[in-house]
Amino acid sequence: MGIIGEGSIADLGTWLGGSTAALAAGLSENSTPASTKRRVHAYDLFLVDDFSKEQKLIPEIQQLNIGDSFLPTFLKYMGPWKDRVEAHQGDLTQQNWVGDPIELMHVDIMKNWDLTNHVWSEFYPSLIPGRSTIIHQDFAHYWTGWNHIHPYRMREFLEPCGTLLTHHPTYFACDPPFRGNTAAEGGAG
Amino acid sequence: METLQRKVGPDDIDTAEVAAAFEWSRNLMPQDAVQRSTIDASKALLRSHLSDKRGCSDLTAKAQAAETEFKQKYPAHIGRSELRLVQHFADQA
Repeated sequence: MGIIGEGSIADLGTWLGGSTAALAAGLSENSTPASTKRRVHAYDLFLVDDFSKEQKLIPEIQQLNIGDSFLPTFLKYMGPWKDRVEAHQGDLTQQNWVGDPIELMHVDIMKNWDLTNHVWSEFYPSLIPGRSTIIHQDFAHYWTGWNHIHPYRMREFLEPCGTLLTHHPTYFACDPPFRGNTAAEGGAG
Repeated sequence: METLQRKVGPDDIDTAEVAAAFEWSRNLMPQDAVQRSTIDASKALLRSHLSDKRGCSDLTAKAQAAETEFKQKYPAHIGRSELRLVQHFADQA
């Protein structure tokens, strides 16, 4: 399950950047030679909303208005790993994956039907058969019922690995997430 | 791969597939009653997402119970304010 640098890391829906920081920190400490050239690609709107302010997790956000971009704040906090993080700001349904194989994918953005469909059609094809790990946030969240249909359709190629019981219920599917050549057929790099 | 490109949405719902999907998901967590109840609530609330408001009061109550149980069991939980979303759902129903 360890990262060996065979692909990049996709962090879909990083919000304030906690997951990106953890992933980038781990990547920077990874001693596998091939991993030194890999980066964490963090996708989010990076826009202040009511929830961002109410949580009061980032002091700088309290100084911003609803609708303001907090991307500069995100990048500031990613400073220790600035060479390992690339931010992609905007509506994910209008964005494309950069094209690298994806070795690790953290998904916390399947908040509606369209986002869910886009993640499956745009990002999942780049997973590496027998190698990639998917961290599926919100899998067991009761608001996101649409999350269950795609995994069921792809169950032949997903191997459940475990759950985390802190924070949101979380589901891991991993090694091998896609068996055979299925991901390559879908356009994996 | 064709399956990855096949979209899911309110206009393309196979109820038998949805039922099977939730059962599959539920069985991934045989040891965890909280997560199973959350998945059950997710299945129930999908009706709301599909604009079927029947029985939504009961479904909301189940969702709130699952939320409460989860937060009681894991007090350090600081996730998004799901309860407000559920309340919003209840207000809209």
